[in-house]
Amino acid sequence: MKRLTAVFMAVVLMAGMLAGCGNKGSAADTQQPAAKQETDNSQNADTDKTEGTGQVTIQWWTPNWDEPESREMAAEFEKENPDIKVELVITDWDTYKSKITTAISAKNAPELFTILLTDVGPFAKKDLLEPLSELGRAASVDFDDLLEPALAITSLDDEIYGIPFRYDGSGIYYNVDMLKEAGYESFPTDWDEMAAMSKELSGDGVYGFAWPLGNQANAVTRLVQQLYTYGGDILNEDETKCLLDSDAAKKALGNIVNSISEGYASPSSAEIDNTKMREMFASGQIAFNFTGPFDVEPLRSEYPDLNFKTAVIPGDGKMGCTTANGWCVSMAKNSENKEAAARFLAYITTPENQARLTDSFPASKTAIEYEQFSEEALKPFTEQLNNSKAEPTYENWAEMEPVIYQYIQNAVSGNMTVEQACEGMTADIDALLAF
Amino acid sequence: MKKPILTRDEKRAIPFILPGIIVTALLIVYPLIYIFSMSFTDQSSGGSFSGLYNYLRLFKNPQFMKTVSNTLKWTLSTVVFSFLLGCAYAMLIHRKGIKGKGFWRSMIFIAWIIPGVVKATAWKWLLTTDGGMANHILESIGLIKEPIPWLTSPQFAMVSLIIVQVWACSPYVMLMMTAGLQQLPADLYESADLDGAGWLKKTCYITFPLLKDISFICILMLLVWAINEFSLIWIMTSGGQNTTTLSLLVYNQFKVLNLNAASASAVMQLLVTMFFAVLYVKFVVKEEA
Repeated sequence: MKRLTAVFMAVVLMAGMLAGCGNKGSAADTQQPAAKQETDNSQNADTDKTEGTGQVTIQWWTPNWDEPESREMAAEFEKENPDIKVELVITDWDTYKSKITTAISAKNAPELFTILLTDVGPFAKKDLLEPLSELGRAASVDFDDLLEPALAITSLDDEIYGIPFRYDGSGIYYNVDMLKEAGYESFPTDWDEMAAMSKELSGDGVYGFAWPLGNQANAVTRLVQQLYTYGGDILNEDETKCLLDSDAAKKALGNIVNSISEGYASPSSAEIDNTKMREMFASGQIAFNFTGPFDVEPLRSEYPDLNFKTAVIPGDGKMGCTTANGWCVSMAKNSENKEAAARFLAYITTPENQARLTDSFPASKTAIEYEQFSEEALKPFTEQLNNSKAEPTYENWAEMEPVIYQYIQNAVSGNMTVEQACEGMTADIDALLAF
Repeated sequence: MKKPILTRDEKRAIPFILPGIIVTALLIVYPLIYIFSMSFTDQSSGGSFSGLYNYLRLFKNPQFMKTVSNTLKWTLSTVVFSFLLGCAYAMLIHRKGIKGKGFWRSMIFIAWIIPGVVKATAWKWLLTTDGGMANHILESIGLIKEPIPWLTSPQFAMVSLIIVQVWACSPYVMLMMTAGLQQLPADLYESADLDGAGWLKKTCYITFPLLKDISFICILMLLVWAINEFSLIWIMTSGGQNTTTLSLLVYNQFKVLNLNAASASAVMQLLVTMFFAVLYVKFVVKEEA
């Protein structure tokens, strides 16, 4: 009997464990917070009642940093279109992707959702997104007004799967006072000059800069930016061979490793992310920081005493390369009210509304000419876009990124040389591609 | 007269058991079958049968064997050390002459009742290389000269995670073992004392054999928790520095909508758990025989 009880206990516990990993179970769990955050834009509205009056209800999952503007837009749109009611669900940076993934896979996706440009491809390849070229045109989306590089990221096989409303890349924010003290009036455009300057700026717990190596996506993005700067690439053209054992890749990883080992980039780099780097820059722990144009306003309002300017990323004797990305709105393939959703999508992505929705640069050619995007601090970011490449969207990228990250960590911790790390990641990625 | 398959009492019990069986079937058996079926299909081609493709792809991934190796290291270490530390706590506090038993138990039990996310975040702060309390204390008492990269070096990251998991899980073992120790008949120990048995002999020949059933439950629970543990590893290292275990692998694959690969990984996770469970059940059965 004891034996039977033991075996029964074991089986039930194991099965419970696996069930916990189950698709349906996870879906319910993950959606709970989303459901809690779900807010009806029009107070006291009743879905059943609205259905009775012929009103169509659409849902838009929008991130918390866009919440105030999203609410305003939904209210304005509802006023102009009484036949459509817009429900907002507020997502956040940490969980937005898993929530959308769960909702789509559970066939419970909202009509519209805001996602990163580079996330569109993987969803579209799995046939989970609605093609928007025709629907968008019918709803008066002006595709010709959208920036081609941004639109290229959300397109697959000549079909558009996301309407971009924000597109930007990184640049440099530097502390004017700290640089002046070290005898620098402007920010260098050459990496070696920048390294020399960083050495002079470092000391007494202060460093030239830091790397966001505590976060996989942040860390790999920085390596890729360095790689692109030296003319390298991750895969060959037909995506069958990894090129991370190239001289460009070794130079790129070497820049990261050397800056930390030689003491001019913060030794905390291995455990911080982009958010922490912004705090370090604002509190004077680092003299300059790599980040996007969206930090201009928050830095001004939260740290009014911080004397900062912006510059382009230094590279190999000239401006370096940045990876560019942005945000767009996509439609779930299995959504019910596609035409109503397309009308709202067209409204969200008008030049005026793109300008309202973005803290950096809109993806609309008309909107980018607005005065709010031409101020001095934003100019280097506009210039930087001239030497930018889209972040990787390879089919196997989700599997490749952790491999690259692991080898970056090994090289930075001294567990491997730069050469060993580059060759290791190349061999592992080649093994992935071979299957 | 032929004996009926079920007695009258057993038949009467069926309606009472049935709701539980139905709920179990819906919440456990159905997802289990669903996961197995998903691991043999290919979503990109409309969910068609793909044979062992997802498994072969998993094994071809050079990261997979590292993940399995990490999972084995993590599981074995946390289970063994949590169990030993929990037993030590229980036996130490159970000793006669120890004052404030309730207080000590409560102090140790705090580690168990703190929510997982809070535990992980607090330990992450403590173990930060630059400015973390752990390095600060070790430096101030002169044990180290340079800060130790607890969470950012492949040499220390897994060890740090294991320490935190052992700290978090051993109070549960202490609770269970304390309950068991309080049930043990005192006359056995008195007889052993008369026979001149020392502490070690009494522990090996009386305490542990009598607590075998409780130990079994404890170890099984520790095993399942270790293999399922996600939040602690995710918050402290995000799987970096060679700390990715199977539960993180499943999450990573699910996050990028690779549902078939995630299902195959989940099945592999189940197999690893079953390997440990069967090993342990066999051991217990052998002991009983």
